[in-house]
Amino acid sequence: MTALSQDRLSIGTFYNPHLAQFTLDHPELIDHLSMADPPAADDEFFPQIQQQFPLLLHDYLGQLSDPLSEFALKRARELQERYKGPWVAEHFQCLHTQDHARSLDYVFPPLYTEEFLQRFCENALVLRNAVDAPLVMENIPGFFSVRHAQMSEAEFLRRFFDQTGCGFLIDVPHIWLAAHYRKIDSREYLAEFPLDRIVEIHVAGVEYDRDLQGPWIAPTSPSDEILRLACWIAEQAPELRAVTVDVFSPTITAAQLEDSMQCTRAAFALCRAEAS
Amino acid sequence: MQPTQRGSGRRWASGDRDIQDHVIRYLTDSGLRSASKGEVFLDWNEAKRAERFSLFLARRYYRDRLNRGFRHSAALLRAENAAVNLADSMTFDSILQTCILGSLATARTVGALVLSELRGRRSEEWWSELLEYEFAFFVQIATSEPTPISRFLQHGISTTTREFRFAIPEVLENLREGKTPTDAPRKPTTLLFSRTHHGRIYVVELDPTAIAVMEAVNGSRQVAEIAKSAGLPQEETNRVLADLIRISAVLSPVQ
Repeated sequence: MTALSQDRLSIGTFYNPHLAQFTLDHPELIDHLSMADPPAADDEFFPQIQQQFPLLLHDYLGQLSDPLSEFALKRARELQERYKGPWVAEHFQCLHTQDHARSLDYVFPPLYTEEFLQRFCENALVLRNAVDAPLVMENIPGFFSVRHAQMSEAEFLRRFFDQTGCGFLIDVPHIWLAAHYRKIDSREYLAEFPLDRIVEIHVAGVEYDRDLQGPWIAPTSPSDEILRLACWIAEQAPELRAVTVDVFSPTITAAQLEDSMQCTRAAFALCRAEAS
Repeated sequence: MQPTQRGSGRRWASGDRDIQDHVIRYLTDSGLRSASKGEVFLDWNEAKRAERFSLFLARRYYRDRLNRGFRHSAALLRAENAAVNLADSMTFDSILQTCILGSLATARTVGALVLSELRGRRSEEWWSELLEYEFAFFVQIATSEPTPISRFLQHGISTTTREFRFAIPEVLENLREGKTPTDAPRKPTTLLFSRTHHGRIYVVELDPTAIAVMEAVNGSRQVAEIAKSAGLPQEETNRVLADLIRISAVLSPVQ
């Protein structure tokens, strides 16, 4: 088991079990792995994966709009004890009803209201205490507006981080999409976001979706525009530790992952070179 | 969700969390959307966008389940004929018009579409049974609808018991090893498919005792009546029921 580098930016991706051999064979491309699912019991590669790479817990631990059950807290604690990552991640999301009768089965933002802010703050602290590790929270884009919102996404996130001291996992394509559907520039959209709280950056590709009649997250390589935006964000994030290529799909190929890692590493190398 | 106004000009009878539940139900239920039940929290233009997002969610959900549920048959077909591609078909588009995301009814409708499209793709005798196996598995992974509570022991909402003429577990073992069985052994096999509250799927082979207990559980009997109907001692019935409850094939009564 290895630890995340303390003296340089770690650039990694998600663990895709069907690409385990490729992952093990390319430590020059992948510094760390985020874990969206626990490894399968018959995953013969995982012991070596865990030996070779720092692991970041990025599973679905529960929606922080509601109190987490004892079962969920125990599961989160056990996963973190297993991975021993430098932090655990959750999302600003509320995707299932309180009675669990309906679920969107997909990330979906809460109403940005005082009540939800309070709920997220309280439940985030419970989760953080349960896992006994820093907690980072990822932004989730909305595709449509609900009348009842009381504040912007940026204000909601800023006040959440101020109240809890949690870290910010900024998903750059999510920001890009949120700005795109508001028809404003991404940098303008980011103006009020607490970039100084950023610990981790996610990059990923976007593609046209026929149902949405516009772009959405897709398991493709991050575009130059996304990577330029990510580098711009990184320059303003003094606490940034890791950049993660957010691809987790049984359909992704080794060639696609290699391309995504190479273009991401090249973009951040250029960014660092220009900065120095 | 984007804020469209600072503060709430509208007074709500319920809290924000309840409003979020309304939004989630609206997105998952085509009936609510067609009845314009979103006007309370969505402007007209935003309701159009929400409709598109609902279609996106449903197609994504069933594409993922079709991919996982029908993976064995997919390995035996040309890529363009795999079940997952049906998520982009016109027939599937029409299913989306009446879809309730995660419901048993929609899972069965989508699964039935696969059966009707794929049955004729191969000629081996075990082929249609493999598809039936995958259908039952698909219904488990595509159904998140909770079972209505009952004062009696009852089957989980998606629990399925299916008799097969072939030794389906052996067929699957062959397929996992990359072998296509030409002559699968005929061996009557009864499999039970169930899903737990936490989404864990079980597929288990039932012996005659367990079959008798499963058949006796009808949602209106107490344990003694189940034992009598199954023709088993109550102690044996309790043991079998405990196993079935552990895998959520049978749900305990709620007082």
